[in-house]
Amino acid sequence: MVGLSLGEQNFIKGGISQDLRTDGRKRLTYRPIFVETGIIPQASGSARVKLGVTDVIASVKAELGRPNPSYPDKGKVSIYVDCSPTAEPTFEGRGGEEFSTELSSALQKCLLGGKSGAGAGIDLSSLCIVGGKVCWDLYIDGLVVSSDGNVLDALGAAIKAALSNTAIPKVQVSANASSDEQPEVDVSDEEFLQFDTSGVGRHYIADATTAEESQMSSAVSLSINRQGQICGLMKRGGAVLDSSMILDMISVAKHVSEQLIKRLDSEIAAAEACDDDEMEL
Amino acid sequence: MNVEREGGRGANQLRPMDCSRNVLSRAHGSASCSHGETKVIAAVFGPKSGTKKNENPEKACIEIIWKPKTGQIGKPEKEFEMILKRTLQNICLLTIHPNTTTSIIVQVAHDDGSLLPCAIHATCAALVDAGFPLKSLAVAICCCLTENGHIILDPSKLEEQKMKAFVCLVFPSSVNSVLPEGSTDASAKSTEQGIITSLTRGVMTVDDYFHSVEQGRAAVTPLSNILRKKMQSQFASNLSKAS
Repeated sequence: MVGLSLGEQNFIKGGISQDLRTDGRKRLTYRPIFVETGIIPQASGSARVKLGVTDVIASVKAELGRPNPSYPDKGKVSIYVDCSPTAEPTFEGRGGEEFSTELSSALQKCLLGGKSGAGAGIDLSSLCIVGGKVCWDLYIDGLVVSSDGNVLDALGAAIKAALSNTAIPKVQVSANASSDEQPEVDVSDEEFLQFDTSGVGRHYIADATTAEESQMSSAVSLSINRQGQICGLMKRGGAVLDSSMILDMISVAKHVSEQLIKRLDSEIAAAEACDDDEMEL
Repeated sequence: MNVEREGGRGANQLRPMDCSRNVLSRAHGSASCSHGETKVIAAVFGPKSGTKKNENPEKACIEIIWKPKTGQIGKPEKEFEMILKRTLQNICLLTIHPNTTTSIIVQVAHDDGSLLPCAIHATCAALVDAGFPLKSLAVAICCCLTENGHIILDPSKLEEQKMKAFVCLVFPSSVNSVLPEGSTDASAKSTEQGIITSLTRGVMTVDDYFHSVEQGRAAVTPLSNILRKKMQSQFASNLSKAS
């Protein structure tokens, strides 16, 4: 991404203050979302989400493992994000490590809740098979194929779609038999939103492209669940923000997230329906 | 409505805080800060010439190395490094020494909860000790939300593990300006009331979040005065040593 000239910067900032962004969207409108599920047959669940040009793939693999001794009746989930050099040439080798650590930790905080496991997006006790001995280990991997801003939201949506596509065999402990029913992983619905503020005029936008992200003075990532509670709020440095602005952002986030959840659910349902049709043929 | 805490602390009561500068002789700047049992030592080396590959050469670059007390450096350490770096980029005046790198090494001596605020205070004190240009100091605080909805400040490690949710907030410290009253414009005043960094973990309602912010800010004002006093008293003793 080459630097922006002064004229381009002013164009972006001026547009945002007039509620008209460079691609014609309003400040709080998301780019069109495209969801495809079941793209990786070897994984337990997978999904690909395209948010405009941003393209991410998430896959879920389930393996049997031992639970953590301090939480014997809970399964384990580990989230890892990899930034592919196809997204940015700077991601080659160790270059993308910082960005991927940031994404992994943000997603982990939002999906796995507090230290005691309270308020997690994924119900870890549903992953337990035999308390203290055997549990499911979920390995959630994300791959950033193309990045044009707002990778966190795309990853959140992809993980949600992948988890709703995940089928884990039901395990029965008696007599070493395992039946082949396919229950789905219990996921409580929540949405991720990333809100960025631009430097001029104290306006904030949702779903920024890379050019807009380079102009922002600070970014707040908010994760809100269906009950309207905050699952994660991350503001890492950047310009100083007043708490009234954060309150504004949270209320707008709730409003926009409802629309986003609806769109995402309908897209996931459409993708799954496509899959079922293909399987029947 | 009183919350029972170990050691009989009130919900809004912070642990005793201590901060001392110039603890290491070979570093350009160093400081150690402790909040109760949690202790962090920070050392500053720099500015050195040249910036790293992807950094903007028109500004100074800050590099943080976080060393845990035990164990190898892994993901949590990298995350702390990134949070500290972004927070410090906000309070440092980066345009005064362009194309330079300043390295800050943060060593955790003991972790008993509230680690990130302790590290931020130690780092700020170390930067002051090194003479690095800063816009303002930063003060940080951790708030926890208990099972029954109370908010407690500055949790210890045991308390942190039982919490429903956890918020870490960093505010800019109040500015002791040499300019006369009335010449500071309104925007400067409003930024003093803002939040530099905020990290949450666990689920909480929006009201809980804002109550934590208010309680945190109320507790932080005496804290920033304490920090400033500790640093000032050491400056006076330095001068007396030099003369």
